[in-house]
Amino acid sequence: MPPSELLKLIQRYADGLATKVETSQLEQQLQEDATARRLFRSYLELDSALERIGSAAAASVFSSEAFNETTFDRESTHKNTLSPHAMIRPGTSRMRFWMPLTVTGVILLMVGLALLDHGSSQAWATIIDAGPGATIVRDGLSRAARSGDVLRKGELLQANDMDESPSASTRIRFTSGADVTLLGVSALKPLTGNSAYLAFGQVSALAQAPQSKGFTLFTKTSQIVDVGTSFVAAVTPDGQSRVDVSDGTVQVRLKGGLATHQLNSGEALCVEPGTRQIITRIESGDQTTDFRFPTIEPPSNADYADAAQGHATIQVLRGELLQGKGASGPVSVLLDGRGQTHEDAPEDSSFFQNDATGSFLLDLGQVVSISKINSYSWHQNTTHDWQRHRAVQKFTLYGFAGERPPAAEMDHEQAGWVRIARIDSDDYFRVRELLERPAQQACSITSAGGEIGRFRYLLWEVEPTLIMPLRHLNNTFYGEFDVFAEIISDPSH
Amino acid sequence: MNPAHQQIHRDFLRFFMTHEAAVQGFIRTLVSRREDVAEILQEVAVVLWEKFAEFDQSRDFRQWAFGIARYNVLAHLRDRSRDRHVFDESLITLIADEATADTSGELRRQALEVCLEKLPPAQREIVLAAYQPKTRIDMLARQRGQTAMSLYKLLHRIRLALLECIDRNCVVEGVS
Repeated sequence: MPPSELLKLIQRYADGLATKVETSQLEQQLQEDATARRLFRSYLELDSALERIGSAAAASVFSSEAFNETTFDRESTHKNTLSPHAMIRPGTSRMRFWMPLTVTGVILLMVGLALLDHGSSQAWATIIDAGPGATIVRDGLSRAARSGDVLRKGELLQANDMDESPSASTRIRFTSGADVTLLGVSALKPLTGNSAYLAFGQVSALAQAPQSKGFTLFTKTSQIVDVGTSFVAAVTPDGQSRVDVSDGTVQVRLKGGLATHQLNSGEALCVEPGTRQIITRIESGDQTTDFRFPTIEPPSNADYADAAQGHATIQVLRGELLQGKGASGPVSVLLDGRGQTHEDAPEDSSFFQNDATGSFLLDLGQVVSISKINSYSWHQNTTHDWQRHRAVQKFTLYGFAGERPPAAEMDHEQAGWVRIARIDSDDYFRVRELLERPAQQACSITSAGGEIGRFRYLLWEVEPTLIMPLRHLNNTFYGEFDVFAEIISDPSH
Repeated sequence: MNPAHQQIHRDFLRFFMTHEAAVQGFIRTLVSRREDVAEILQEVAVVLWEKFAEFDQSRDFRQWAFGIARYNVLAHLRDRSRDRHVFDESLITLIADEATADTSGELRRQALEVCLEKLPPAQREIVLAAYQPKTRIDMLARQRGQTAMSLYKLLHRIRLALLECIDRNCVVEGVS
């Protein structure tokens, strides 16, 4: 095959334009010719490298929009003059840095460089307390951080607090007056005098000073704007982001999503990594049969999966529901359109045997476009106030779009299930004392893009709540699962 | 998080950040759909993190990551086995073997930096615009007053120019 023809086939394959015949031709050529394979790899690797640059540019756009809306006006005057392309302008000495860095690193670097394009000595923050091992990194070189050091543009602060004790934490104050504490091993880059990028780890932010209202923290997935007082944000190694509002109000906007999510004191929001931008919100209810929550609606009998709609069926795929004294109700209670009738109602709930895991399989009858999945639980022992651990929602939710669900015995993702979200409401509510655990809980899973995914089957892999020494009566009283979905009018799209 | 766990966390980030671009490029050579790469990369990152405690840090992280990425890609492609654009598994394995043995990727990515600088500004602008997430080539072409197919051809020519430039740079460096 002439090289030009081979290159044309590779291009059409890389751009998703190749026909079945062209794909077969390319496949045959690659099977036979080592030089063709090398060219193919070079082309596709170039494609990947260019995509990384494109993502970095987009991240810069995302961040610059945030600055337009929040505090950049106070920091600079050239915020809107940078085009996305100008932000990763080749031809400058900066370009040499982006290649070896991760997407996170590129975003961090590009956001910083693009927005802080002038005044190389501009100071954004001062270190109030430098924890043990804290370092300041600039242009790949690091130096020990000391209390009183000034953080200038382009500098990254890394905290290495191994025991996460408040006394050993690294704390900085932005020029706006916002205080940020780096908790544990974390890396933060001030972007302006009132904003920063959290690359990984966990920080708490306190924006009490009038000038610090609107303090903004960026993560890989989100933009968090503090409109007064304090919050905690965390980014895990696998990219899951989380925001907890300690006091006041925080606005969160997700990359790829148009809506702003407002969180008030005591509320939190988790964002799963991945292109779907899955959002988890868990709330504490009013502990009445009305199941009232701050923002999540009560159990519904109008959702797509409800028994009244006649679309869906649910069954236990793995494990056994508890039998005998205090037995579980039937699995069908999960689709009956209502929660429990009182606070300790096993007969209105569906739950597994003591100390055992299990899974609920929901068949929606056909592949549908799912926009929201809610789950409700309620448990409060009438004698012991602290005993409400059967309200904890702890499960991993999967989806599958095929005709028949894969077996549940093997690794779910290897079997073909798509993991949608990981839920642990104890972790979500940061439960440390038994009484901190809400007795009535609602978990709502949505997506920043509007659609969680297109699935026929949903699988809840649930776990018991492990509280030593309780090894019995420890599976959650789930009262209702609601799935909001739409039939896909044109499945080919 | 206890100190030992934090150390693992830190070590993992160091390794992963160093090799993420290589792993992403590796996955891209094995799947036809650009949009699948990010999802597979994310899955691979999770597996790497979950298995990192078992990883012997004296070994080559890149090779280890490529091994896990290859496994995830094959699992992903088996799910799409009816897709007309999926190569035979034997070819995927062959490409993966050769990619694993080829250690020039980092140098080539660095050379791309130089080559992008050498592109005419108009071409650089086009290629960067085309590779932004969620960019639709047909929309971009319409904005530029041309057809999608002519834009695809232009992008192809730019990529070929970049490839030639990268090869030239790597010859100078002695890896090509």
